[in-house]
Amino acid sequence: MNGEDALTELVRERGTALLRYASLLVGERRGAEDLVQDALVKVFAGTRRPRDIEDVEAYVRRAILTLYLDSYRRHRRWAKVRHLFVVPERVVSEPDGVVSARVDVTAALRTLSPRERACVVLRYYMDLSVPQIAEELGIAQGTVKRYLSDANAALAARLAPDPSQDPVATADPVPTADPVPAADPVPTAGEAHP
Amino acid sequence: MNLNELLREVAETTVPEADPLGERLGAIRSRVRHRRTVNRVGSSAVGMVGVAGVAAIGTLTWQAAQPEPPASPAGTPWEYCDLSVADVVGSTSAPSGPASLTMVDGMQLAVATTVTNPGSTQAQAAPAQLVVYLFGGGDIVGLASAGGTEPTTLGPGASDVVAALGTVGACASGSVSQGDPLPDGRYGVMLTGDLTPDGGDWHSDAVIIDVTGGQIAAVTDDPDPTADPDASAGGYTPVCGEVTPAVGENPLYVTLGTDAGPHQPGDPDHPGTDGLSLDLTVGSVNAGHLTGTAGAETVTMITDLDGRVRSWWRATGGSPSGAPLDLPADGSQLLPAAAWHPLTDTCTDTSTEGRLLPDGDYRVFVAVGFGIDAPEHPATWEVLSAPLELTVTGGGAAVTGGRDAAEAVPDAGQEFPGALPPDFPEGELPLMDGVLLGSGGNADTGWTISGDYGIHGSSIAALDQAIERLVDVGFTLESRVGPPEADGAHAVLQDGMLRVEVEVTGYEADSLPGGYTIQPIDR
Repeated sequence: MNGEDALTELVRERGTALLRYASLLVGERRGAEDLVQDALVKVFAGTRRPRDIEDVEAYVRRAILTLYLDSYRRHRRWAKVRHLFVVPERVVSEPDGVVSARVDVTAALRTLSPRERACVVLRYYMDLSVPQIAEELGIAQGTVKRYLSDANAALAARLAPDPSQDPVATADPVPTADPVPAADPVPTAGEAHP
Repeated sequence: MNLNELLREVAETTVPEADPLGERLGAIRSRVRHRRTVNRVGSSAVGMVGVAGVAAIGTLTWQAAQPEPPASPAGTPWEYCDLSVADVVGSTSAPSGPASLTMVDGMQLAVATTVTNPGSTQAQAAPAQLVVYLFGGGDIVGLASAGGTEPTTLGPGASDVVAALGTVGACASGSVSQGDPLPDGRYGVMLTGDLTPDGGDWHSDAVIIDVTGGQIAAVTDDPDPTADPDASAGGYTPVCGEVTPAVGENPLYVTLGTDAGPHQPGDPDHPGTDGLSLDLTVGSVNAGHLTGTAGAETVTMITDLDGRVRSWWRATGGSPSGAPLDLPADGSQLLPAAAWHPLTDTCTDTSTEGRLLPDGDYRVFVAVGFGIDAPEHPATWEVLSAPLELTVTGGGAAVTGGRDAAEAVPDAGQEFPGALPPDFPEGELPLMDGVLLGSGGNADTGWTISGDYGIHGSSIAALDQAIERLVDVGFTLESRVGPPEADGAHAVLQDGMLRVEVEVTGYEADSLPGGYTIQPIDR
């Protein structure tokens, strides 16, 4: 299989999976498409390319993650001054004030740092174990556990049913004494996933 | 509901469709090709400045007894000192072509190049916007502001010589202060600038200079930038022991093809006998159709694995000189037997017999120029090929990698040329038996296929054969013009989904291929 065949096959057959993965990291569709495109170009324009489609997909997933984290680092400086140039985005309520689960989770993910979000996506969407996440991100397992624990706490605070407040409109998550309520079956960080 | 399910639901809701990136596939392919072309060109450019850097660093001893240092140039953009060549010459900068050193006086120099205005309105190349950069190891180690000439006004598509005069000053480094004369060493110098109001950035090829005791001396013998641009391939002059000279970026790329060998040394007095004969596949990453002709010269270089030239051969006037270039968007074209090298060591022995190349691993590169037809913006583009891996044993050379034919090596970027476009409906649209020479297009725009179908001067009823094959798979003949054995004969067929035009060329003159033009039928 030559490079063009592999690229076409990957985009046609695994494009949905790659874009879903990227959209969870980025938090929005358009940026995710750009991210996947950049990752594909990076992998297929490189001097060393894997030969089978599974390897290629793994390379592209890793490139997506790397580009996502690198992009965040590059834009951090801009983010510090962005409020001086643009009007903050307004959260648009859905009809009848209903905030869907999708918007809820997406908004909750946005409150996490990029590394926390990457850990959450790799753990709960990609079903990677803590050691696998640590290897993927090049960080210690203990650091992964900490990121997951902090992220779980933040998400639990966001996603826990609380009719007294609108979690999406809240600027910052409110830490709770018990970050993972008993009713929330979020798996414990560091637990190996089958 | 747990987090696993929540994330899955979010992902599926955000991206519900089956093929969400299908529309971007063409753009991704184009960017991949472009990036790989840039990588190849860039790697050779970095190699050139790398050598300059080694030479400069190796003699970075300050000359206390130098002539009085010239004053620092006014308006010099010293902020470039922390950057590399790639940072300053961005991907959008247009190559102007060769540059030449027209005047040297101490650390003062004048460099000239020919700049073309690619826009459709008049533009001005102001000398104040020209800057001379000096490179070492890819990092900018010195600069000079430009001045001394009048602004050059260029009409739409017009070209003119732009010169820059400046006094070179070194970037601060160790004991060298900013603006001091350059330490002894070898450097590359190039011109950059912009065309106002909206012509964009441009940059010239590099001129190599030596600095000794505060005096600049030119190393390369660059052609006169006012000379006929078609002769620019002749300006590509490798230097034995140095890395291959860089060429500017353009939308063309070239890959090399030959059989595995072993190839035996040939007689330099009789080019084409033995030696290494190479097929060139010229590809385009341009968004539009390109036509033109191959230049008059090819330069074939054998380098060591560090990229230093160990032997080189210039062929003038033979194939592919004057060969027509016809490249659809993202298309490619084969130029058979277009380059040759005697496989002897031309660097250490210039005698007729030639000395055998020492045993070892080498790389082969070919530099070739192409004149591009464009009524408003004619241009000459020089291309340095992707490398071919060569192993020499006892004088014989075996090709071990990099060929663009059957055993393409992924690292060499050889997958794309010489093949039908990836979405070409090969199973539904049979072609005549023969050698594919060029192809391009996609399912949205249609495809253009050209090939050598063995019809040159033969009695083969090429058009009949093509029609028969297409009718056999369900196509209907709509029209037909000319006899089967004549240039210009063509037929049009369709099957309700595709419209195919078959054209016979090259029957009377054996230089042009026959071809197919296939377009989707918009129902």
